[in-house]
Amino acid sequence: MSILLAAALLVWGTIVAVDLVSIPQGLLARPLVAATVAGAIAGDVRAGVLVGAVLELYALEILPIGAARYPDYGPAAVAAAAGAALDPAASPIALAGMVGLPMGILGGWTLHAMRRRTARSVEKELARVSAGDARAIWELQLGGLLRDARRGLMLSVVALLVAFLVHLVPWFSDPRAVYLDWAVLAGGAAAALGGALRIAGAGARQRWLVVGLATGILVVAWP
Amino acid sequence: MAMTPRWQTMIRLLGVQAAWTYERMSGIGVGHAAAPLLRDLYRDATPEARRGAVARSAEYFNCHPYLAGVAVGAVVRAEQDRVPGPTITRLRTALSGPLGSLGDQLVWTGEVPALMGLTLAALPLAGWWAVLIAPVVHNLLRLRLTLWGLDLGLREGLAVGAALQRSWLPPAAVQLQQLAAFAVGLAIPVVLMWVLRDGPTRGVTVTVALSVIGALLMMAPATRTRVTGLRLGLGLLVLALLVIGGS
Amino acid sequence: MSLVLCRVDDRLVHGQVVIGWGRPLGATEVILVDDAVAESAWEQDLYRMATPAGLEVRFATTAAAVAELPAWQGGSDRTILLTGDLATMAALRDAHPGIVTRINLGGIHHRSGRDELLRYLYLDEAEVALVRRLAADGAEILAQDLPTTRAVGPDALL
Repeated sequence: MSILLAAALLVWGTIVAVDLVSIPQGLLARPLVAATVAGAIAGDVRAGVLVGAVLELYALEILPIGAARYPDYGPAAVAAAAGAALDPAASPIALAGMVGLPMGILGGWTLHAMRRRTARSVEKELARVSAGDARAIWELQLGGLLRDARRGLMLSVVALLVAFLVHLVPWFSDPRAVYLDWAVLAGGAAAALGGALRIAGAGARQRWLVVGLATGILVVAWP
Repeated sequence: MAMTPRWQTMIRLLGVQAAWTYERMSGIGVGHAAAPLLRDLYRDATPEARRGAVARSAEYFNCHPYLAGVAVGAVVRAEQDRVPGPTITRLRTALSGPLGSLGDQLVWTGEVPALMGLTLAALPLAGWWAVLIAPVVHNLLRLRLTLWGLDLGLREGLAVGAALQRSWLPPAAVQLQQLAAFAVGLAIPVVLMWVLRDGPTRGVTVTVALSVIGALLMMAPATRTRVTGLRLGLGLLVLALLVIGGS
Repeated sequence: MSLVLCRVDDRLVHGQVVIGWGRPLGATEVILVDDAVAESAWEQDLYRMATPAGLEVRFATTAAAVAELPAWQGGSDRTILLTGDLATMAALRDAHPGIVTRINLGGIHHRSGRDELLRYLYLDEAEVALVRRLAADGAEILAQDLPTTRAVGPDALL
């Protein structure tokens, strides 16, 4: 991997990390978007889309409501897609699981830790904030943004390293390596389906879910 | 060229969660977003009056980020109408939960899964460029919603709850969630078959069976608090690695 | 068995309650017990506006809730009982220990004097004592913000 490519991936990983909660929350952090662009950067869009589609199934389970904790799949998807794009022998689906899922969990932890640090910086400026000092509020916003960018950069570095380490083991020379694909896909489909059932509850939404599933099955079963 | 306070607030609303904490949630971000409008409103008043309004606007606040503009607008309008400080604090508190709930339904369980589900389902036909359409559509809708919300709040002040109830948002939330349910349902079999199309048929059988069992475990009362798709996927992955490495 | 959840959450009616819990539990009704909101028409408008179709939201004072709880318990609705603070829930529990058997602590947030126990749970000394007392009286108290997250009991909490 050239230095230029590594830098481009790190910049993209940082952008999608910041997009998730800080700014602009513009859907760039969705794994499908993050991984597709990362695949394009690394020279294989197809591998990126595959990684993104699989991780997107997992992301559909997440409800980022209230102050709940959830994984951050953005930089994870970037690293998994880059790994898949740069190693033609690797299965993008298996890499989505082996790199994307654990790094997504790590991403969730870093988000939580960052919120703690932001809380401490607010605590320090409490007197100025309570006095209505607009400059203090602006500084806290900027500090939060920079903290999130640093988090995204570090997370992207670690995730790309993990993707590189995973690539050192010759998983995909074993004919049973396809089991990895099945495991990752089954988890993803369960996440999307279980998540949709939970979110739909009863009534009209549940009926629309069934109609959608039936339509999808018809579409794929069509000869 | 100077930007109007309304547009400064609008741009700041895009980063309303940058200083999010468990104690104040989006309070700091909402205070930051309200500041240009408050500065404009209080430009002839005493610094104490302005600072009081800024401090109130940065207190604990929690709602959906895309609808924070409704609260910012309503609070600025209430300040303009000289509504007493404690009532404004009460308005902020009362807006939190409902705006969060409405935004969650409209965006997190509505528009976003609808858009992502449709994009996933379009992949086999349209190819990768379908992926680029999703963020463009989303951001156009989102900017429109943020600006609409800010203007609604600025126009209605304390009456913003009733205005929201009459608005297009509640019915749109209902319809978008139905669309989301349909789109995600459609996407699951389409993506599975698209990804597995070149592999052995056995793969389809195994994957579908495991995912249905997984989804049932996610729903069953005895297991639903412990089983998530993520845990299931990681568990199955470890199992597959053991099978491959164990012989 | 129509009381499906007894929740303390100072954000009152919001996404975690109506979607996070309401949908998997198949709730058809949320009863918000809060003396201030029960008297305020514009706040009730807001909470009604934010409640999805298929879920009714009703408002009651603590006194009215104490009187009505047995009827709600026997009704055909699947009800989420919601209070904004621990003291109100404790009053309901003390009045009807056979009905309010499990209490879900879903969100009590930072205020001066409160210490953090979980990221969504901050309690002051009086509230900690109240949790202990309720637990000692046999109430099953669990802190859990969403059905998919870990439930924490009083032993681990305090």
